[in-house]
Order: sequence, then C-alpha cells, then structure tokens
Amino acid sequence: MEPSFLFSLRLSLQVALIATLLVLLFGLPLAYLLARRDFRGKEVLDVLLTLPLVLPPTVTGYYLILLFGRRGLIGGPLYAWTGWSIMFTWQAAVLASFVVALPLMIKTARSAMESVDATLIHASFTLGRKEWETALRVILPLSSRGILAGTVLSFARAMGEFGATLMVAGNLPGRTDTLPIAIYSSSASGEWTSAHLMVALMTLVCGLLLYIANRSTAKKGKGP
Amino acid sequence: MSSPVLEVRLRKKLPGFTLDVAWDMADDLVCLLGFSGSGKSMTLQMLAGLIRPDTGHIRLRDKVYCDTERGIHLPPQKRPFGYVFQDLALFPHMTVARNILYGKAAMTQREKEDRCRELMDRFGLQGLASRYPHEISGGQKQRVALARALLRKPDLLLLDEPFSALDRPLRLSMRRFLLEIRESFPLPILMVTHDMDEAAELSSRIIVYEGGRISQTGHPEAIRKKPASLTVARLVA
Repeated sequence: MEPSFLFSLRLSLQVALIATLLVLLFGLPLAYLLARRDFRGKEVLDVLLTLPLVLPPTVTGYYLILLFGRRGLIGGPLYAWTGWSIMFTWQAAVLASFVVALPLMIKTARSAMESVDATLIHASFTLGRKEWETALRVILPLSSRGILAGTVLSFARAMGEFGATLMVAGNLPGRTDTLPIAIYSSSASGEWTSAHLMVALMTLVCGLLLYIANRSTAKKGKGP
Repeated sequence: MSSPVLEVRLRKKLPGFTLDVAWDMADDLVCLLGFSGSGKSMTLQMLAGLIRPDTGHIRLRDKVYCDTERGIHLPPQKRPFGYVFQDLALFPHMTVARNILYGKAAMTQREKEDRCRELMDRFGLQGLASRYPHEISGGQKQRVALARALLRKPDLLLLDEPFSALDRPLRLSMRRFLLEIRESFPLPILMVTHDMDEAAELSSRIIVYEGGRISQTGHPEAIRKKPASLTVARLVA
C-alpha cells in the first residue's frame, strides 16, 4: 500500500495544481477588468475578492459552507438536483485553495497590467487592433512576469491551505488529508517520524516555489 | 483653391483648460506649433479617436470620422490614420519586424511582409528585422515607428513631436528623411512641434496654438514677420 505521506503529497500537488489552473482561468479576466475598466461596484468587487487574503481561513471556510454546504445557497439546490455535495471531497479542498489563492493572483496580475504603458495600448488601437487583440498581444505578454509570480504564489498558497480546507473537506485519511492536514493529524497523535518527514517535504516544496517566484520577478537581460 | 482634404472642429472643456479649435488643411505637410499644454497633442489624440471631444467634427476627404451632432464617433481602430507617438511606443517585447507588421491592414500576409521588407529597405533598417527595440539606436527606433505607422497605407499621418527625443544632428537628418519619404509615400501629414525652425523647414503652413485656441495660421515667414501675439513672438524667436 502507498505510504500515507505519499498519498498526502500527491493529493496536495493535485489540489494545488487544479486550484492554480482555476485561479489563472478566473483571476486573469478579473485582474484585467479591475486594471482596465471603470464600472459601478468596482471597489466593492475588489474588496470582496481580496477578503479571503485577510480573513481567518476558518471564516472563509465558514462562508464556503454557507454557500456550498448541503443546505447552502448553491450547494443546496445542487444536492437536491444531483444528490452530490462537494463537502468532504477532495474537490472541496480545491475550492478552498482556489478561493484563498485567487486574491494573490488578482493583486499581482492587476498591478502588472496597470503598469503597462498606456501609450502602447493606444498605439495598438491606432494600428487597428481591437481591445481583445491588444489584451492578448500587448497587455498579457508585458504582464507575464507579474502573472508568473502570481501563479507561483497562488500554487504555494494552495499547497499550504489548511484552515478553510479543514472546514469544507474535513480530515478523511486517504481521501482529503492534504499534507498540511496530515501534518496536523500526525503531530496531534504524536506520530513524530511521519510529521518530521512531511514537514521537511513541505518546506522543500515551498522553498523551491519561492525561489522560482523570485527568479521570475527578477529583471532579466532581455525584454522590457 | 480646392476644398480642404482634412476638416477639423474640436471643443472640449476640462478643469482649467478648454480646447476650442477649427482648422483645415490641404494634401500637404502642416505643423501644429505651440508651447506644451497648448492642446496640440490633445488635438492629435482626438483625431485618432483616443479622446472624445465634447463637440466636434472631423472629416478626411469624403469620410466623416467624428460628428457629435449626428452622434458619430468612430473608434481609433476604424480610423485609417498612422500615428507616431512622442515616445514612439514601440512594443518592447516584439522584434523590429513584428513591430512593423503588428498593424491590421487590408492585405494578405504575403503582401504585408513584402511591404514590410520594402519599408525596411527604404528606411535603412536592413538587417534589423530580428532585433528588439532596446537593441537599436534612437534614429532607428524613429524609423521603425514611422514604418509601423505606414505599413497599413494610412490616409493621414499624425506625428507627435517625433524628433524631440533626438539630439540635434540626428533631428536634422530625420527632418530631411521625413521630406524624402513624403515624396515616395504621398499622404497628408500633420505634425505637432514646439520648434519653429523645425516647422519652418518642413511645412509651408503652420497652425499656431495658444492656450487651447488658434492664435495664428499661415506661412512660416509671414508668422515670423508678423506674430499675432506676444506668445507667438516668443515661440518664433
């Protein structure tokens, strides 16, 4: 049988990877909207999207239960319709990681997009390129360093997610015990050997990610 | 005299500044002359559709690009004007060739590439196709920006102080270069400058801006001889 720490490592990587992909998918358009458009409720949206960054993860988790629980605002109808609830599944861990990591991507990608020289965008318009073409060919490439940093930070945050995950995915050994949760269980029950091992693994992975993030934001010889 | 090629009437009120101008030009090179903050660059941006006037009318030949009374205000993408920005605005992440080819043009990819090669040869940019903007000189950047604006065969060329960042000898050679390319690419050119010598060398008609209004128009010599105001006198001194 697969040792439990390997399962936890694999689950953590899987959860963080999927959460990061979702963060990119939703975070980039939201960052673009906040960086380039003015609309009513923009500041409210910004606050809502940033809240998970400052709220205690248990509070974020609590909101997720209210929304996605079996009797939740979204989870209720979903359960009535399909008989499936996201609660206490590994998908719930993805949801929790996604929500807490999203603000990191939005913050870094937004400021990267805002720092793109407005004249370049105007130049693109006067050269006949529509807004979406300009976004893809000028704004995104020139924000790539910020987006890469946001991606790595999001992945690291998703890897380390504990509080909200515990609230919505629980601590089901062999099913939802990601590395941080397994570490908590091991140390709570005095299994020091496996705790040591997982703590070392976690430190290694996060250190590596920080190194990549620093490398990607450092100024390179070529490019802007 | 035949009817003007470009007809412009613009009004926009901002806090502490009002632009209110009306002028026209023939198929020619005309300079907008004035101190900074007089509304010249804003006029170009309105022509390009980047800023919307409160009221205004822009007609080039028989096409109306802006007419606030009739609710017409075409977006920049729908205006076939080449625009060279003051800081050139070359895309730093694209090579010289990709910068020049960036614009949307009504031709096949093959035709675009042929025209790009032709422009690069004509502008002395041979061998620089795969260089990045930060790897080439100021004068070369200038010519890349011009080539990029001309690739789409615009109906009007807008130049916003294009040579102000260059040192004097280079500025003089770029002026000669601009006069040369006007021979091979005949199209009306509107150029913004604060340098009377530059305006006098390049154009036979100058429109002088002062605080968002036109204070004088005419031949450079006539303006030199009889400046309409103290500001104009300082400008041409």
